[in-house]
Amino acid sequence: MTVIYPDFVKELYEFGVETALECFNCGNCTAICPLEYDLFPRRVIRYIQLGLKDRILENPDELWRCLHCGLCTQTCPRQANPGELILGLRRYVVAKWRGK
Amino acid sequence: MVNDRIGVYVCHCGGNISDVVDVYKVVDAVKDEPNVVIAREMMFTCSDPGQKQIEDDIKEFNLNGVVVASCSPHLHETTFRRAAARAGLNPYLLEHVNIREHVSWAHKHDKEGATEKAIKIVKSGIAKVREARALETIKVEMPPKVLIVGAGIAGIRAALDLSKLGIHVYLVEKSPFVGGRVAQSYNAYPSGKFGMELIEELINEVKQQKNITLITNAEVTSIKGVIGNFSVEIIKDPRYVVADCPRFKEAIDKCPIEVPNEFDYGLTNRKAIYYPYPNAYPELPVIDMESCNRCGECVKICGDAINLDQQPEKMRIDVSAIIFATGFDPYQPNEGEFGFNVFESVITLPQFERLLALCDKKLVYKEREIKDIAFIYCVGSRQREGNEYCSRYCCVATINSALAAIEKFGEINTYHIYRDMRTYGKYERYYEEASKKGARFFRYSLDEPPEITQKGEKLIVKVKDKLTFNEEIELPVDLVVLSVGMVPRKSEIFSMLKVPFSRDGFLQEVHPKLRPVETAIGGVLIGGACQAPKDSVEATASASAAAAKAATYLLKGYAELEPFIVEVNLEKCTGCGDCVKECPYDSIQLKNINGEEKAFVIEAACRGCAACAAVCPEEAINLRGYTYDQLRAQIDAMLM
Ligand SMILES: Cc1cc2nc3c(=O)[nH]c(=O)nc-3n(C[C@H](O)[C@H](O)[C@H](O)COP(=O)(O)OP(=O)(O)OC[C@H]3O[C@@H](n4cnc5c(N)ncnc54)[C@H](O)[C@@H]3O)c2cc1C
Ligand code: SF4
Ligand code: SF4
Repeated sequence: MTVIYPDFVKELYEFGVETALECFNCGNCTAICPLEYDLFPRRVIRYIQLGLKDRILENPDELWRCLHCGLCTQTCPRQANPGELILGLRRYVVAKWRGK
Repeated sequence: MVNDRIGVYVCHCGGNISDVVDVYKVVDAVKDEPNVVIAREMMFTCSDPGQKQIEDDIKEFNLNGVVVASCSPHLHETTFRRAAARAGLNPYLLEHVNIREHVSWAHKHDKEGATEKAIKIVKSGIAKVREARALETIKVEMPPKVLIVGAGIAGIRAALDLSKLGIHVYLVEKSPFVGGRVAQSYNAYPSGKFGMELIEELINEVKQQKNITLITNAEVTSIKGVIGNFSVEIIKDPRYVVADCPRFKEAIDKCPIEVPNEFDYGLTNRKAIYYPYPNAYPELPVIDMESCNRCGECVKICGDAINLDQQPEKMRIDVSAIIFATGFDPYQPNEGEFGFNVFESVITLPQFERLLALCDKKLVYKEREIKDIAFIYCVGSRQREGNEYCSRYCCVATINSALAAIEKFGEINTYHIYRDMRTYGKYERYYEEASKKGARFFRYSLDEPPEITQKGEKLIVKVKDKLTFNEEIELPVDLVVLSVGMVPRKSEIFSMLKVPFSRDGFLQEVHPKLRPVETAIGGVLIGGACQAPKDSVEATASASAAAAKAATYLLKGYAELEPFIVEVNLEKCTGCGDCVKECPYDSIQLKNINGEEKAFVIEAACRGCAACAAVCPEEAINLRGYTYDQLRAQIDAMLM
């Protein structure tokens, strides 16, 4: 069972993650992503929206798979800037890791 | 006498027909039929040259019958009948048969068979027209008076439109005040105005009009008659407030009775003498006799303006046309449906809108401040059994009210648990705006609806969320709002006129595209949400359309009806009366004609269903334009 934590999006502002709520879960980014990996990047973006930070921290490696090719950002119909969100999450994960 | 000079026109319809049907062969097969004097194939019969050819032939060959074999009569029967009339031929001596939808489109893979079928159909058309008689349209006088039932936004809109054209309107409203559901809405999309303000704007216009008789607190108890001549009985319930008084406010304050205010779904109380909301119209308050204890406090203040013994009043009016604008009811969730009536913090969207309107600075329900709200969409709509339709307004109205809540009360988490987000057309903007304002969206399926439980102070909404890969997500909230759909209103008046209902139970138009505001009953029109779920934009548009439609009859002063009604052969009629029992519209009666009981048709009331003709044991009744002789000749021609 997973409980929503809506304030998480605000905690991410300082890492440059600001557009996550623009995403309306269409999946275009995942469809175009050359990694073809486990619904990446929509899956993590959805976790940001719901504030499921454990899910993100459970498997942080996946964020480093991103090639930063920019295709997702180009395709996103809502200008949610998925590529940038992934970069921001890397900063967040690094900060968390440093903090440990 | 038969029509003995017949012209036949077989259409290619570009290639729509002739690619399959050999139209030359059809012409060949019919040109020597008895009474056929000219037969032609035509590329496009409906084109100007096509019509001109028919007109020329009628004159040149002095035709007294025409058969056009082309598309569906729905499309061009009127076109060809008009052409015939222009050439001086009675338009009902033209028969339009369909060899496109019924032949070429249906039998693409069997060209020979199709041609054979086309020949039979054309021959049967010839047989029918041979027996045809000249007919005249039925003219009905239309005094410029209209009844509009329901003074919601749709009824008021239609009343204004008609009044401005000089047509008198009787606007009958069941409740003591006008405005319908719109008056209750907090911040109606798309303009973002308070519902009450919208109604007030319209009412200010109504006050300028001389042609509107508003009758509130009243119900139509009987409607008889037909287009041009409806006789309507109305009962006006007593308001008990019979004249104006400058001290109503005092009287209301003094009234000792307090009951829940229905207008606010019980969120506020009102007195027995009351206005449902400030600025309600008409300006006279009303006394609710069910809760009034007749203590007389208000009478002490307002004297003769109040009469606790006022009696219901019966009225009778005559009108030419009727517009139903009776609106809808919000769906009432069942006991326990998404926790409704089980948890006190589960409410419906209409209730939520009143809550938004009534709260100031903080959003408070049952003395608790609301910070997290879950909206569950499609409640009572799009069900597998029950209401199968989409209620159309609720996606936009829900998002709109969530935005309004955020705007009025600041930081509120809104969770939107939808099935499909149908913020169609320009309302997409609201959906996007909601995302920007922090709304979170979840998607459920009909098979796994969200569940609601209580945990301490909070309600927990559990969603199996399709957007989160079918994971179960828990949402702790203070309030659950059910986006209830629209359901059709039940009323006796619809059955008084036998107005047809759609599969969904709303009032039905004749044709959604071609005749969108007319019902199958002549002179009875529909506007607003009584026709189908509609938001107020669509409701007023259709109401204006209904007003314009009514005006098309009324400004001309008369209506022309198709002549296809029944007639009685008095020689054959034995006066058995079987037909009288059969007629669903009470338009055939027994009448003493020259000392004998005979069936008699009320022409303006007959709808031409010919149920009477079917039961007459003597074959004394014929439907004009479709007589027994014509139908038999057609069948014979087909079988030959
Ligand atoms: C919660 C909610 C929020 C909404 N928000 C919006 C919004 O933001 N924007 C928007 O465009 N639309 C909104 N709508 C839709 C809007 O309310 C309807 O489109 C509108 O009310 C339809 O108007 P109407 O006149 O057809 O029907 P109604 O408003 O239902 O009015 C019908 C009137 O007819 C009267 N009546 C009924 N039967 C009889 C009878 N037998 N005899 C005499 N009188 C009768 C009723 O008393 C009523 O006054 C909302 C609806 C709801 C439920
Ligand atoms: S393309 Fe954009 S809107 Fe669509 S899922 Fe990806 S981030 Fe979300
Ligand atoms: S408008 Fe939206 S909430 Fe209403 S029935 Fe249609 S899909 Fe469901």
